Amino acid sequence: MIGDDVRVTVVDVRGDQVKLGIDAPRSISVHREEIYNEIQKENRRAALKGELPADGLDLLLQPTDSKKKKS
Amino acid sequence: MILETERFGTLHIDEEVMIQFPEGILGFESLTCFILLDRKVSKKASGAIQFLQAIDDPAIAFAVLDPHTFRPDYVPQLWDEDREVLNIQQGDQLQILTILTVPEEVRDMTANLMAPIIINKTKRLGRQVVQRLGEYATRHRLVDELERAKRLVSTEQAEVFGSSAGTDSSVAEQRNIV
Repeated sequence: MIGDDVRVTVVDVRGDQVKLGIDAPRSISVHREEIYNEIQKENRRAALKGELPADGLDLLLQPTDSKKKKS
Repeated sequence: MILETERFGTLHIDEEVMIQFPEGILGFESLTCFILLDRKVSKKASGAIQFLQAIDDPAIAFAVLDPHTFRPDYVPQLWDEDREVLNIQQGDQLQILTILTVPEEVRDMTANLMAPIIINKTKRLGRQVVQRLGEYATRHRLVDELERAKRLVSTEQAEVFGSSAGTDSSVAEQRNIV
């Protein structure tokens, strides 16, 4: 293996000639583009629309009171 | 300066608290200036959630939260480029925030751990930093993360207190229980 993602295999040997095959995933720039697109989409989803929800957003983060029942 | 927002009303902003995001955030590259607002949205709210409010577009704001409140073992990685854009130097104070996506059902809210917001508080600079593929997702459901965090903490406690019959209190004190 050369690097994490690239594999080199011997495909054929004839006399003193060796044929090599190289397996590589799509280029890193394509991976990055996909990740960036997903993050863009999620940012746009996250941008607050209209008013904030009536219930406190951080009710989930209230310190847990052992006397309270779990909802 | 004065910023009129529909969501938060009239904001009186001290230039000193403005944070420059040289590249904006992904999908909002033109928004290069933000402030961090504390806003309790209801009387019961803990106030842990803050709001990243855009200066250039008063309609745009994001709910943000320190990821350590629900993911104590979160360690974001910074690339060299991030350190450059954020002008990070020794001694600078950094702040980590995650952007929350709040759907109709608030209980289903998610946090983006793949692309946290890093703020260099000392230099008043910010950037959305991208993590490696596979480690984190753009949507971590908060309810699930809080459950996981509880299990994480109780496992640590069990290791310290549960293993041996005679607990050595000095050993217990030396261990770091979060």
